[in-house]
Amino acid sequence: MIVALGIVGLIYLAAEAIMLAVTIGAAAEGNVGAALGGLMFACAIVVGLVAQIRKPEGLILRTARARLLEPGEERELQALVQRVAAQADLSEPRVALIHSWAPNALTAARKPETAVVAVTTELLRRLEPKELEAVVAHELAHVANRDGPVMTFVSGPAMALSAFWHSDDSRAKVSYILLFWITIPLHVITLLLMWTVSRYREYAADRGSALITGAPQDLISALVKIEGSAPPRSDLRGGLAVNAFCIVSGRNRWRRVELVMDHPPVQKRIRRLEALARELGKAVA
Amino acid sequence: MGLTDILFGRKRLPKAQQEKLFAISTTRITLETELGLKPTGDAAVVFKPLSAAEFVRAENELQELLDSVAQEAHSKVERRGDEFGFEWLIVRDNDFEELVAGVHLVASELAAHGFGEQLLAAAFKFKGGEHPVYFIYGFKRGAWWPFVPTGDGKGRDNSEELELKAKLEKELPIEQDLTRWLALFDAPI
Repeated sequence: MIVALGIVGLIYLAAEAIMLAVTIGAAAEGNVGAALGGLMFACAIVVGLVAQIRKPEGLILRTARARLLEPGEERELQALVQRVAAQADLSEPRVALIHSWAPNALTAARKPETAVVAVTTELLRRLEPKELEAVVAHELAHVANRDGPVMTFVSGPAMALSAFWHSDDSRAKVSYILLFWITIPLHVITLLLMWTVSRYREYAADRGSALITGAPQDLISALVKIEGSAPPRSDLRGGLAVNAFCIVSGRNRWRRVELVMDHPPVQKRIRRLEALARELGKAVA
Repeated sequence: MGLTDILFGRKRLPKAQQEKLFAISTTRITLETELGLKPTGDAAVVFKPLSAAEFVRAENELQELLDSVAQEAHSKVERRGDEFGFEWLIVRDNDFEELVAGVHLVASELAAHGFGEQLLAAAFKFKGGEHPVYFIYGFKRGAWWPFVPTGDGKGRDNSEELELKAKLEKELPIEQDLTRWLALFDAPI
């Protein structure tokens, strides 16, 4: 984690150093236009990063099509978020709802005081209150860990390179291609760093949730329900169920390479939460 | 399932795996000390005679089997049917070791009488939590899973079930595919 953050920091410093070197070199040659251009790029890196980190939550929520709840709306959900925030010793965040068939939750937070927790309608439908509490605690752990600014910092270089590649300005795209020997490896490295840090923060938020609620099993239960692999409600003695029992192979699962995942595999998250559940159990005993 | 079975469509029911049934004995202490769960002294073997002929044979042999098990295991054994057409051979014993031995004996006797492929599950009941807890042993897979019905229709407490998995899987062979944790609602134990 520290290594990954250090490498990203070095990438920022290297970019700044290159731009300043261009500025000084151009100024020494008396090329005022190039010097100003280099200086503007050097400033743009810092300004862009600060602007991203300070990006208003409203903008992020609009992208996710989330609607902020009014006081009194979805009372139970708002009360639950308030309760978990108090437990986590955080300011009460605003709550938003996303109309979606996908069970999910997200947080937008420049700082804990302005945080917004958004959940989808499908998540509300699918989870029991204690499982929802665990998911909200996971989101609030992201807030407490300042994951918003950290992930913005880490994802900056990868996003900048992606912006070059996806730019409408053909000159940016041509530069990306002409400098492929540096842009492509750098793009891959920055993406891998971003995903690695993201997975680490997810594990940390899982742990945070377990410690806030004191019930890692509720988050495990929520994760398996979100993933669609929860214990079924069908009976062992039902025809279909018995047939299913006799099938030799399990379901076909599309395997993904963990290295390029932004979230850790659910099974790995469950393993860690189970270990925590055992730890917590022993502490109580 | 071998290649020839696939080619000729001769899928057979998996044979019952009984060897891991005894694993529940050692978990009793963990269940009691860490989770406050105590055995109710009730357990059962669930199986289904597949054809009418087998059912008649079962009718004739089961009572004999139950009597011999009761005598050998010193446990009370009774027989119940359910709405799915399954037979429940219920073993009752306040001594948990005897209860496990009794269930194993029933399963072994059933297998010896040719019902091995029809053995579905064994279930042990525990109390002490908000809801009754069942530990189900699937003979087909040779693995255990917890089942906690909430008593609210087909409701089950997944959180508690997953907590049991987390705390017991070091000592009990737990079924890892959660989608195979099928329920036994309205179990007659």
